[in-house]
Amino acid sequence: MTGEALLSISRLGVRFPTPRGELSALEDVALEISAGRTTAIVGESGSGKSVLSRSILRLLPRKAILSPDAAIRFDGLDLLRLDARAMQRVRGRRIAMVFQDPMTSLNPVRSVGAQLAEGMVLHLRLDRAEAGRRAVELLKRVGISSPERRLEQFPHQLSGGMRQRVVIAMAIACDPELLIADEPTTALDVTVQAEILDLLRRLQQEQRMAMILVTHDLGVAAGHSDDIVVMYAGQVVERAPTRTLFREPRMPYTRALLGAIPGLRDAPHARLSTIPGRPPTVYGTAQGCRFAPRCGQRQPRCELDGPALVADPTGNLLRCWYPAGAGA
Amino acid sequence: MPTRISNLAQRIGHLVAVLLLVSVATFGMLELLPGNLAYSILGEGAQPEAIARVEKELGLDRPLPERFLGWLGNALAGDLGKSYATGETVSHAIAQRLPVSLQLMIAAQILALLLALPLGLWAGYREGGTIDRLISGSAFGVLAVPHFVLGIVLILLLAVWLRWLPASGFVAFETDPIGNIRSMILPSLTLALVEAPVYLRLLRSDVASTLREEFVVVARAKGLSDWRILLTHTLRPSSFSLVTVMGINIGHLIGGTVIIETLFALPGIGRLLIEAINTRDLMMVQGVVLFIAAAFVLVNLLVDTIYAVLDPRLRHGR
Repeated sequence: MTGEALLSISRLGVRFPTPRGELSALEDVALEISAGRTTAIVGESGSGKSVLSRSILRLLPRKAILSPDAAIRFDGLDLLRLDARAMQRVRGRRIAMVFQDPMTSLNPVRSVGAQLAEGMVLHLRLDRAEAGRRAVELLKRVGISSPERRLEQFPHQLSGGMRQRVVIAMAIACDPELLIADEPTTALDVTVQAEILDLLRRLQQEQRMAMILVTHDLGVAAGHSDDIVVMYAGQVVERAPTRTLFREPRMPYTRALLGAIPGLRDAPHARLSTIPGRPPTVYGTAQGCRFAPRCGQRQPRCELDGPALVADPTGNLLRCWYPAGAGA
Repeated sequence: MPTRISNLAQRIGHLVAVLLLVSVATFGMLELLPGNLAYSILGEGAQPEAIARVEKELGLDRPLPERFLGWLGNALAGDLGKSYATGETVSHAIAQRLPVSLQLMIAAQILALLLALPLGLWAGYREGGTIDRLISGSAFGVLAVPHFVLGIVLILLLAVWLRWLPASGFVAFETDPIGNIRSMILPSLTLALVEAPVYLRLLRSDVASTLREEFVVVARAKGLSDWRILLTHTLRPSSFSLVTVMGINIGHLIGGTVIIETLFALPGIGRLLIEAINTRDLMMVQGVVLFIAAAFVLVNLLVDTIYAVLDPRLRHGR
């Protein structure tokens, strides 16, 4: 964590009104992203990572309730307090996003070229011919063959991997400073997954942009990130540089997650290690640590009082009363 | 490409089959009528010789299949027979009345779309909000009012009280273009008000569901403004039900609208049909019904091709 943060999020809470009461999707989330680095946000499904990534660009449904003291700062801008027009100038231009499912990310009735060009026409003020030329270049950069022909085609004529490449080309079209990739490979075949991840890493390095890689797959995070943020039940529970986190995970949930990765040296047919129970869905406010019911190191205090996210001397963040390696 | 051609061939095959069925039904309609056709033409108490003469003239003395094929052949050549009452040929009568019905139909569709497109988009965009409830509620209210009541209210308002427009009657475009347009405003508006609520509600619900699609979030993430997303990303994929229902309406309206044409004294196809029925002018009824059915089928073929324009997925057949 060196240098000024490009993006910093603090005290972000998001709630959704439901018939059963207010669902707490995010609580007291804090996050810092430095320019040029890749931060992976890791968590189970339902841990709030997608809500977090969407709230940065204010893409949450209108009914979402944000905590009043939340702040999302991007290069001096207070994103939560920008008016609609100013926000539109950030979206796609300075912060771009790649979504999970390439099958639904593209408009089925518009050509690839039209969808690729519209962002550039809007933000870079290119005319149609210039946007067309740049679109061809972009498709080449994301590894799509015969790009001129692809521009004329419609999404249904492309494979899933190809569509995700188009979505990525759309995202990098205006040279954003931050790219948010929300589970960009979850809906793809394993072989294609690796290609897309390599492509993202290459682009991130070439463009020297910051990247947020949202994934439920610790393996993906390990190979493609500089820092890791672990989320659980709407909260950040641990943040550390990727290498540190894998070497010495401190929060019990992180340790359990790492333990759940099957290793090559495991005995054949050994039982996969799992975390018993399921992550809670929190309505209203919860008492105690959200991971306590599933935690192996649980103490009486954990069920009464929720720990805060605190920084250790090296600047890594942790939300646990009894982290591993503390005073041991 | 080959699939496209075979698709078209298949559709045209359908079309021919449907038209053939329609012609059989139209022809059979007259055969099934109780009583003798010649009697109904000549009236009660006609002389047997006169009846025999008329029967021979109409070919009623020939066997049924032969008569049907003869009639069908003539119809294909554009000859739908002659009115007994006036001696006018049926095709001439249709050609005279068609422009009125077409003008009414086109003007009403344009007005209905002018109302339904912006309001439907807006209501769908604000689904569940106050604006939506206001727009959808009023649409439902108008929908519940019968045609003729709407027409009468509009006549009262715009013709009787404000005296802006003539209450009824038709002026041909050739004689007085301005008068023609003035005479068509009230009927078109009435018809548009009948149809706009249906279009509006279809569009509204399709827009609302399109806006829940992921590609709309992607478009927002690109920095497009909401109205741009509505126009460039939402309208087209939300217009399929609208196009379907419009096609059905247009097909109907080519055959005229009996109520509106009667209310505003417009000499359209609908009036022609009603008059022919009232005077038992059976040749005319037969011809007009066949024409209406053919127009309906053709318009729906056209709608099928419009789907392919709207949705590229139908063009390439995967």
